[in-house]
Amino acid sequence: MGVAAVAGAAAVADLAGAGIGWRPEIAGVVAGLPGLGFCEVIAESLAPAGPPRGVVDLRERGVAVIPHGVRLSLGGTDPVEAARVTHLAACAEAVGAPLVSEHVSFVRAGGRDAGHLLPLPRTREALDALTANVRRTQAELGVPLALEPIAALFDWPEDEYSEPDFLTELLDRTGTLLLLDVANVYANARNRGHDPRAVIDRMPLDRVAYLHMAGGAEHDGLYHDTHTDPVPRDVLALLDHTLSRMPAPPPVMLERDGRYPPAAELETEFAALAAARTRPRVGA
Amino acid sequence: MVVAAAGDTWGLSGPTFIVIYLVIAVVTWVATTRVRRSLADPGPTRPIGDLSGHPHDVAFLNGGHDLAVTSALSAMYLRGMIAPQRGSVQATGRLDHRADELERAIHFTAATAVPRGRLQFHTPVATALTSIQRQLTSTGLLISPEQRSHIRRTGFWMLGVAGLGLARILAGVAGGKPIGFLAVAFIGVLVVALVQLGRSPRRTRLGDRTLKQLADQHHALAPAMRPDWAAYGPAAAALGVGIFGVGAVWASDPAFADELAVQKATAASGGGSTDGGGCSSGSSDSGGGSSCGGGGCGGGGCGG
Repeated sequence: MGVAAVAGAAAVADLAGAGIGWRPEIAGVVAGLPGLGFCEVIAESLAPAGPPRGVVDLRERGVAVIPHGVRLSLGGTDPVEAARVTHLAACAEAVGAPLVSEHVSFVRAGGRDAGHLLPLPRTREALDALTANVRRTQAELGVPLALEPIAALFDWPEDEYSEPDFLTELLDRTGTLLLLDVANVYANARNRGHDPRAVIDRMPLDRVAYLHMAGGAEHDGLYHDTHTDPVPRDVLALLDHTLSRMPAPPPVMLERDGRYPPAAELETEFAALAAARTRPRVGA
Repeated sequence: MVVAAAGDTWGLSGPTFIVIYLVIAVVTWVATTRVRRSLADPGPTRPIGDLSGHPHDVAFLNGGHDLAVTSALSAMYLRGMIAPQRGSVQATGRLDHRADELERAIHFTAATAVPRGRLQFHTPVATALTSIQRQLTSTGLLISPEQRSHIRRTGFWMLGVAGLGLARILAGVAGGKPIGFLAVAFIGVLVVALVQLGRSPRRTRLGDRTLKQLADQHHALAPAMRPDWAAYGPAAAALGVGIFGVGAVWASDPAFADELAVQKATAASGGGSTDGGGCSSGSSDSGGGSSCGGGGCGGGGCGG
């Protein structure tokens, strides 16, 4: 810690500590988490004219709220839909967000909606299209944009970049920040037989705005980033490794999207992330 | 204007009488409404603790017997103390040490399967519910049965006004006078009188305020949020049912709601004022339930 802590990776003003994904089903539990620093709200579920009461209450308590888009389809070959960008910007304004986040993926192509996040082929062409869309989005946003690489069960055969290289190039071109999902890195590396630590080491960690952590489970030999299971020990260990590679611990956020555990268990899991952040590290 | 002329009924012209009659009716209506309101607001007789820790009391306050039972069943279900099946309830497992009087009574009663809607009429459950009712009445949240009948009796004033109108109508008819306007006024007064005689609020204004405060304080448990019962736990789940009605069961656990066969129509809060009549009038009729079972409450018509 010490002097290095002054310069967080890509420190975003008003964003610190441990956070959680705010979901209406557990709003009361989230509000009761001790030491909650920030939370993320799914942008597509947020009405800028009237954010949910629980979110407004958190804002008033000084808990930062980050609109997290899931349907923008930044990686699509079509230009990003103007109305969606406008909505994202309005959400950021409505909750006084320090930044917004979205995914490095596409959810629709040729007018068809896949219904979930799909991986991009890591080619120069895809990078150009993505860059154009990110710039279009940035033009309308009044706050920084952080981009999150997704968990994918397959790679495109035409890939020209490794994921860290692709991301580094994207962030360099657009000036965006990185929302690094440690569990996604773990899932991708494990399912491809790679060492997740090595992947983390090659990520542009100096661009990290905050980290995501989530639970998952193994089915038929593949690790699935379910968000409905507890965070496995290996993923926690990877978080530790990630933090050890950074001069100061960035904000860390827990994502839980279903099969919620009793409040006490969720609190314990949240506390574990908060503790991992502040644990003293050799060489840090 | 001619106030009176030879041949007028009671020495008053029709238009004069109707003006006087309407004034009397409105004054009586306003006066009785005020009296009823003050009777419904006796002020706290004992300091009220935080009701959040007593979800079934909240449920009783909001929806009466039926909702209190549903609230208890929700908590017991989440603790694995009962199993619902096609509208019936059967006790399972051991009684949890956290169980309160109502939960213990339900667990005891449901040793063999009992239809959910009948639970409240079994003596142990009825006794537990009566004690909740007494508690809520003594803390000034519910209106006592005596006070409620007092409130209903204020309707006799309007009934008297209706009687005056009827007398004038009969006299007018006898004298061959037109009575159209008066008949309309009479019907209006009669309707108000009957409503006042037939209805009285269950809750005091303090009770209404308390419910509203609880709803505000626990907005995260509102059905619109579809609160996750596993995360919140049994006590908070029951509190959500108590504050927001059976809609909370449907929102959080539709399968359980379906097995319980609770009504789908959500009567979130503020309702229940028609839960009058014999069902909640004191302890004497809660034992056997014979006066209630066939009536409006047993079938689930009240207490939502």
